[in-house]
Amino acid sequence: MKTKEVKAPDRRDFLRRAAFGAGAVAVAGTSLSSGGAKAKTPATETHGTGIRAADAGYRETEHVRTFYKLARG
Amino acid sequence: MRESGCPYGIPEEDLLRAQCYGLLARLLSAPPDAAVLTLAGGIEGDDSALGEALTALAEAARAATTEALDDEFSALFVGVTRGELLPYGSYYLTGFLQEKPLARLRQDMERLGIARAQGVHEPEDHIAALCEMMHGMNSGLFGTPPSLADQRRFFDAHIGSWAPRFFEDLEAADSAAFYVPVGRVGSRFMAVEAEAFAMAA
Repeated sequence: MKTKEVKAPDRRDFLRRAAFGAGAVAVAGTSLSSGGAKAKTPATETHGTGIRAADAGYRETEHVRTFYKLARG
Repeated sequence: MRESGCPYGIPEEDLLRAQCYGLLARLLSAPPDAAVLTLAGGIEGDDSALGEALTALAEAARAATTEALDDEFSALFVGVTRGELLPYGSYYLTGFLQEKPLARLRQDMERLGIARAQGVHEPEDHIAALCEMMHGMNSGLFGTPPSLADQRRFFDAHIGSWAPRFFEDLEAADSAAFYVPVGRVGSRFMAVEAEAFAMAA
């Protein structure tokens, strides 16, 4: 929709300017999410909160794996 | 940074939001272990308000010990019958635990396809669980992210209505030392989220 397209760039610019330019949180967040050897258990993936996707539990899709691999680089 | 390879085509800024929520979820669900402290200690914020808070958190993480944090976390959130703070939406919104806000949250979780793991008895309106929900929604962990409109409704109903006050309380808590900058990161991030959602109206 046109309205959404006009407003979304403002939101994106704002978020980028609001501290994420450093990209440093990405390092922490990615590692917290993937956690190396511990990454495969849903409990670790959900940071110990016990929250998960409702259907079939946690799904580590190829996309997710690729993201974590690329984001680490 | 690239967008290719990001799950579900999620834009970079939403992945970064997810990671900030993930960081808060990890710090608020349990005392940080050595690995989490090392990761947090490596964060470098920029000169924005949130960036400054992240830098302060990193400094605190580098100075902290897991033993001291076990005690601090316990004093803040566990105690004997309760900790200094009760980080639950129901409590902040009604003065009581396990109230209507929790019931509404469960309905919205079901609509969004999010659940609580088996064997977990902590109410879902705990700040750490809510941060984890936002993390999951924006990281691809829960599949295709909900629309921005759905996320905003969720945020307004279950987080924005009380979490800013909680993070202020955390920053000011008697038992807080390491968790002071955690509270500040939470406050500043909540402000960013609220402002960003308003832009998407």
